Amino acid sequence: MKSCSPLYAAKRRERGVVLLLGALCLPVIVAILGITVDLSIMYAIKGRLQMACDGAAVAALRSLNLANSIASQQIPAQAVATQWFNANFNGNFMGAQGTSLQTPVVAQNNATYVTSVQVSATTNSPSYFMKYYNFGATEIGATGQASRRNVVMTLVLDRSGSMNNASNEINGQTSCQVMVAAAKQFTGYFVPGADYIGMVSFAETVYIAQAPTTNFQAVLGYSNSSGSGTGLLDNISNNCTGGTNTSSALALGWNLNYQTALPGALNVILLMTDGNPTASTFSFVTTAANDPSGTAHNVLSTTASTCTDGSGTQMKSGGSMLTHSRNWIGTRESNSGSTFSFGAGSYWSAVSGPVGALYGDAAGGFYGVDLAFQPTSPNGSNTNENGWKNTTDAPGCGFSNQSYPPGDNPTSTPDVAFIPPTDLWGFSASGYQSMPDGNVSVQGVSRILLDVANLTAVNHNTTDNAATFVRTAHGTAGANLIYVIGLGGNADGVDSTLLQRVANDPNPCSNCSPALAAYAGVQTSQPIGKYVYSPDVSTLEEAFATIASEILRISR
Amino acid sequence: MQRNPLEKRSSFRRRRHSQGGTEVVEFVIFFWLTFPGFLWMFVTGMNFVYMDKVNDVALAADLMVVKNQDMTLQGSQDIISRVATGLNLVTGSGPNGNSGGTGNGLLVLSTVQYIGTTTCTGCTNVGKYVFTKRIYVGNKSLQVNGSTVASLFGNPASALWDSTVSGTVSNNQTNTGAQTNATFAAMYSNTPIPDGQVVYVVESFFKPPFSFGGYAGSTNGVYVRALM
Repeated sequence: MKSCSPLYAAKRRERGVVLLLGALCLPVIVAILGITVDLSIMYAIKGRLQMACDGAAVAALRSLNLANSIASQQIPAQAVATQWFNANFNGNFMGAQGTSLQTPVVAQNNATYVTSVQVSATTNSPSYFMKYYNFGATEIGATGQASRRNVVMTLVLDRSGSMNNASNEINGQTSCQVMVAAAKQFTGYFVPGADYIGMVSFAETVYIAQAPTTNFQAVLGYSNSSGSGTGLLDNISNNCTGGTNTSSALALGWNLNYQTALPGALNVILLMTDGNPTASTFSFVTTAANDPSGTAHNVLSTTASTCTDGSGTQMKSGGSMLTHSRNWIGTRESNSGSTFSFGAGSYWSAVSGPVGALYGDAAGGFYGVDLAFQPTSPNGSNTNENGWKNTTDAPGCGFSNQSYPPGDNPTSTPDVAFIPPTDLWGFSASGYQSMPDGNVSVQGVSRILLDVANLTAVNHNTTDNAATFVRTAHGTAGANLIYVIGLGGNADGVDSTLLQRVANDPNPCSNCSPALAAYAGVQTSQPIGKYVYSPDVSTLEEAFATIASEILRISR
Repeated sequence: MQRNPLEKRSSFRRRRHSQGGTEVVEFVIFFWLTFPGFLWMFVTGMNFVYMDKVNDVALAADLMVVKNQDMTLQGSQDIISRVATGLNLVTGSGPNGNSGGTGNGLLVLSTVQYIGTTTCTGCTNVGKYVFTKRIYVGNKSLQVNGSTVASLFGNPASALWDSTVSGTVSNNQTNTGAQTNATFAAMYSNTPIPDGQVVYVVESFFKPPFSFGGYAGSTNGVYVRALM
């Protein structure tokens, strides 16, 4: 009988074996599924935890400006990190439990000039399946670190007379006063104890206020969400008068960064101006190296001069402007003939002799001679501006009356015979713009004629060449970045084309007046900065904030 | 007695023949029992990968915002699009999303500021969190589960929002239309953020190819936010 055959019996015995084997394998299959799902959840939680730590670290790094030292920055950093971490990571995300945020660590590396914030957290990932196999919740952790390169920066701020024009006031505030408020907000963005910020301000005289310091909030003044303080910036508020010696301000601002000697940090110059450059600084004895004749040459008249300032003080005494040269470095007659040393680590060691700022404004139609710079100006004094300007301020001076013929130094009338081929800092008077009125022969050598049109071109050229110098590495000092804010509203306008060149910014400027196309001549081998145009005073704070965001390069 | 090998081979053949299909039937039964598990595992795994990718997109976008990248520019949005490869994020230019309303993703970029008395004395919005900027990247019409996605923190009033060029929110210190909703303030309820401090928020909404089941605040879609 078939049903009783051994074959059938065997067949019947084997029925359901696959199902049986499957059932036996089911715990293993479930375990595989469980591991997959539980691990996926774990990775999802890990990913979200990592993002929360990263976000908290970046936010904490941004908050370091809210305290005055690295040690005291721990507290706001911890508070901010906690707030941002909780906002990013729901404590029971996908069943996570026991989430714990560790105390954020603020650290500064003095070798690499990098400040960093580290945020670490742990949580427990649930075990939905594997708990049946005696595997409980798994602790997972994540660490986020945000770091940024510290900054060495000098603010180069325009304090010329146009910054004080009543016609530009908004809410009773002059451009000068709004600039001070905006600059204080600007310093409030940076990190005391880590970043270095200094300042020079300039009219036709440059005022060296403060070398870059980590204590900049207390020294310069600041304003941010943790409070505000007064400092050297406030001294500028009611002291805006004079011309615009942009090239010397760039040179001396850069020299402060150079003296700070932290090439590993991000070295920055921030230039803010509301007008065209109207002055440059010269030594009135050319050197053999830079004089087209191949020998040193006197630029000042050595004959008796009737040149006096508005109060009757002689521009020189004793008949010869050269042999009795005024010291135009700092104060007037009292320090005549002295030498000023820039101190240790300076690119230019010392300045002496007949040095002064030649200034001329094509729109204003004047030119004159004044102080080159004022070594220190802690009180923001501006009493040394405009001493020797026009026929009223400087009666009898050859340079102040364009009816005087160009001189053939030292015998003819003009007190300043020609424009020297380079300025005091070595920046060429030629280059970017050609001389509208050409040259004049002095002692048989062709030299730049001194008049307002030529001087205006020279001031543009020295500014352009100074910027190129700043953006170039010198010795162990690296190239500096230049950021520029141009303020509109001044009747003479601001030369955005020049400032775009100064910043080496390739981008077009659509809100400039007139609008600028992309800068085709950008120097790709030099640092690329940024030019921000502020149409009027009302947008000046925004312009400073934009530059701050550019400089605060936060990297994860 | 030893069997004839021919007979043995023949009996094996008969047995295999008589059992033909039994294993298949059993396997099919077993397969249908376990298939949903495998399918669920596949879908879940794919969507975890998807969510992890959305995490990266939100993080990258927020880092760009923190670094002051102009996210209204086509070039900036294209960078995000490349980070989101495979997520079908269709970008364009400007602050108002792509022009065609296409794609499976939307990023809502908000800059939120706390207005304290130092920032603005006597202003209407003192003590409030306000939008200072809002930019949409991707499909602003994205629908998930039948509903158009929207920021969990509210929207600035359209009259205040520059939807064509910059995405800035004007009069944010004085107009209540610039305020966030209570959800945002609740996140910082324990300790308000410092006066004037800014929070950079990126909310990302993506519709995955497979149903996901309501993780992290959005039904059948992936929602990830990053705040810096």
